[in-house]
Amino acid sequence: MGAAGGLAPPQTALNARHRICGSPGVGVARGEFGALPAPIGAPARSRTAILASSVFALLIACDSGDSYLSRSPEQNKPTEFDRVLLESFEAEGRTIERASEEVLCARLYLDVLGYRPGRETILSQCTGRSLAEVASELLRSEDYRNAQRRRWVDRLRYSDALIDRGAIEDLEARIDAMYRGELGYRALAIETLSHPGFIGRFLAYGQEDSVAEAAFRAFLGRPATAPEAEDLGILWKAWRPRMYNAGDEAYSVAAQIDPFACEAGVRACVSTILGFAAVELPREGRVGLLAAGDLTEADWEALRAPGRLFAEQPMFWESAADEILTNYLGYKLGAQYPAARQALIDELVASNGDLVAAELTVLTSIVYAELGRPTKIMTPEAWLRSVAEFTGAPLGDCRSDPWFAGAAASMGGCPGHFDPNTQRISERVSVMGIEQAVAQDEAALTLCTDEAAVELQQNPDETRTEMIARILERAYGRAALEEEVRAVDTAAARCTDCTSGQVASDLCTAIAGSVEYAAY
Amino acid sequence: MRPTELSRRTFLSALAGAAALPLFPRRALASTPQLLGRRAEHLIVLYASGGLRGAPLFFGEACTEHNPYGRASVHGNAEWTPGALLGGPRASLPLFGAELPSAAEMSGEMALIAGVDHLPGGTAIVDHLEADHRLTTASTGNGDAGLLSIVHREHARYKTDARAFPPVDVGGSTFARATGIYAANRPLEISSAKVFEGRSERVESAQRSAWMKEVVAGRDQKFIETRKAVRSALDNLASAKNSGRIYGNHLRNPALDLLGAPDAALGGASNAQLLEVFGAGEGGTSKWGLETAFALRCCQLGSPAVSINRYLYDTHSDERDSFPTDAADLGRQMAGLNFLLKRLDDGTGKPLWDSTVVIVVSETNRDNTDPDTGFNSGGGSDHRGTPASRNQLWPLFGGPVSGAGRIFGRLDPETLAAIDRPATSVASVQATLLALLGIDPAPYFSAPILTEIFR
Repeated sequence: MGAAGGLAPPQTALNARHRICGSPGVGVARGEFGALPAPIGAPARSRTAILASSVFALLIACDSGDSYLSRSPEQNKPTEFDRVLLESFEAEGRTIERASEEVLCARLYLDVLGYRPGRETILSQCTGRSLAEVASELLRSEDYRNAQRRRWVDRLRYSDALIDRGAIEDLEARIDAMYRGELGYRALAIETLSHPGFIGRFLAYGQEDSVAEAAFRAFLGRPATAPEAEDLGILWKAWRPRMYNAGDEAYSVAAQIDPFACEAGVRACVSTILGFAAVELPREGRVGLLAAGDLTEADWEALRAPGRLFAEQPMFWESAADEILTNYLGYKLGAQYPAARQALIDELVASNGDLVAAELTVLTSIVYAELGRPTKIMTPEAWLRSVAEFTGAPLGDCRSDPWFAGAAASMGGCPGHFDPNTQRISERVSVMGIEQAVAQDEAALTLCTDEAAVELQQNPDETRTEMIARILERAYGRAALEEEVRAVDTAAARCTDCTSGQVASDLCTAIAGSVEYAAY
Repeated sequence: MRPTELSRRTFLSALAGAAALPLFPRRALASTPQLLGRRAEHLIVLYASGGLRGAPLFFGEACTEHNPYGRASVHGNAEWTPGALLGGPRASLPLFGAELPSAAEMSGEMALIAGVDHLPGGTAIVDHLEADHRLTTASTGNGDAGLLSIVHREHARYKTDARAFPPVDVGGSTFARATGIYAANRPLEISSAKVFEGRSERVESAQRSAWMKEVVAGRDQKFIETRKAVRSALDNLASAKNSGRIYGNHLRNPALDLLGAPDAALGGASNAQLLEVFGAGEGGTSKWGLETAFALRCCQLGSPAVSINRYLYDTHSDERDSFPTDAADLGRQMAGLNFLLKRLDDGTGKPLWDSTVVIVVSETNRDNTDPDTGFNSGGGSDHRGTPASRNQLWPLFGGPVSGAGRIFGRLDPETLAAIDRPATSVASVQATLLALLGIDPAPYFSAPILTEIFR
């Protein structure tokens, strides 16, 4: 078990009514991992401070201090999000039972990086470390940014099968910049809503209202009403699709600009339904359509009007907070605890849209570490990547690996993947039907073959029983239970001349298809 | 009890024995209630989506504005005249040592509903999505279930045997829509039979690992027990995975692996023969053929309803060039089904033809064409809500169709407006198809059943 302050063991769960940490100020655990001081520097004896000290004394587990002391003051500062939650919990008399270290580590890896860690990873990367420390590290990784970029495919619904790849790569570079901390969420939204990579996806026949509808879903978290889509659509009226042959009988859309459609001083494109916004493009002697690469900075400023309008809406920040909460908690916390949601919104606004910081707030919160939170089910991409990590099978992703894309799409994943059979762009399916289940089984059979599952082969110095235990631990990330090892071993013994490789392969297939493996 | 020890050889031998058993034992046909004069055990829906221009195939007498391609000869005692695009040359079938007649030649075996509208007398529907939804659910609102999901929920076969072969949606249509209480009744949905390629090769490893899956599934139950607060979600997942285990082995049947197991035979024809008939064999270019062959195999294995969706017919432009080929492809599927249904055994010694009905549908017909050329300014046609785009022509054939060669309803060749009687509603056709399969349509549709086609 890890050192004090690591991914805390169950006996330090929040409902255990632990003592207050004896450290400067009033120490409380930030999420799973350790004590956080009361907000030193807050107004003297403010209601917050009084409440914090009393609530924390009642509810928060704490550690004996080492990792707490080793953390930076910033990490030890309690978040308003947690404080508000604790206030609510105390009013309800609700106690929180913490998840185990293994469960929490798996959650973090799956939520942040998109795959289930094996036991070796849990022991080497999580055990003995604070939740904040591990989460912060993961949030700085390239894998995290890659996972986030895939998430934005869902959100923006772009597809490199439809839009020219240069535009999508440019848009993804901006998304990456945001997760590097180089661009705020507000700025990203404004740029996205005037970006050919986003607009081209929804402008196939020049339907501006479709772009407005997509913008609503992406940044305001709800569908637009018909009047909203119609009124706001005019802000994208200057955009024109240009279909071009991208080879292999495929066509892509490149967005271009009609400078006469929203001409300054002649026919400005105005929307008023969410507040006044206008697109007015200088004509300046132009005589035809303009490629995005030929636009001036003044043109871009004009075209960013819809983005600026969207970013002014209260819904804009509410939606960003809801996205984070739903993504990491698996449910809409704000419906039950609106004050906590508001605290997260306030944090986002105050940081000018630092999504990574807001995500860290949620990932280190008491609700994220709660044992009994709703169980989430891996996405097809996460499942495939997890099984590949587990078996050692080489695997790409939706873009780089056609087998991966096809398998994930059959399971309802890989949004944006072009299905040549239906001539459609696939979207995410969250329901597991017959074919999704069979497709998953097929993928498991492929990834678990003797040849693919190189990490599962029996070591020369281990018995079959030891091999089974090792595979179970590698897959689930927890210690193998004696009874399950025995059950598998007994079943394996029935096939007297099955090779150890076949046993490993069959066990791998069975584990990959289990509920426990897919749920987290 | 001491577990039986199986050597690997015994294992494989047991598997071979299991594989020899019918994967989906067929059940007595009499188990399905009869609500019409005729009854069908299988329904195949060819969904020519995008808005099929019907007159060039099924209304040869329509004027140039609606059928600029001409007419084919009338065959048999057909009351209707096929369009030229349903005609065309016979196809050679070397693997059968036979010729495949054109679809026009079987017009005497087809009934035609002339004038199927979403809502006769109501507002015209021109939007693809809404038209598609009305076609597949016959709902005036946002219905929860498409035809296939209703069949999966209501068909007598599933009341007594949850493992019976499910309805199948090929190509991603909303015939498979299933929300609300129907969520558990989704049919098998696949984008193409291509996804089955090579599956039969894994039947051994899949069955071999089944024993291990049972062990792990037992452990799963204990895991689920520990998550009482979220059991519902986990139970649903476990249920889906169990379905996958059940169907997984069945769906690795070599007869479904049309591309990977060309020699696999079922009911009197090999996979290669089926593909040849539908124009998808070696050198074939059909965009339908593989899926139609798969649909037929699904019926042979017991599925009561299969739909195939091919989005090929939204011909707003360049119709002159593309439509003759795609229409001929559809005709080939109709002719091929006619040919094969009469030759394939249904598992009880009778031809599959006797118990199968095929229908061709789309979400709209087409209009906005020049009276002289038959095309719009882009060389295509549109769907703007005139009678020509509202009133579709839907053919049906198969053993249970008693009105073969007849036409039900009449359309004006100049306008495609319904004459003498209102157009038939989509809901009436849906209700009829359900009744044909022994499902009482009353809870779903108040529209009348078309008894005259299935006396």
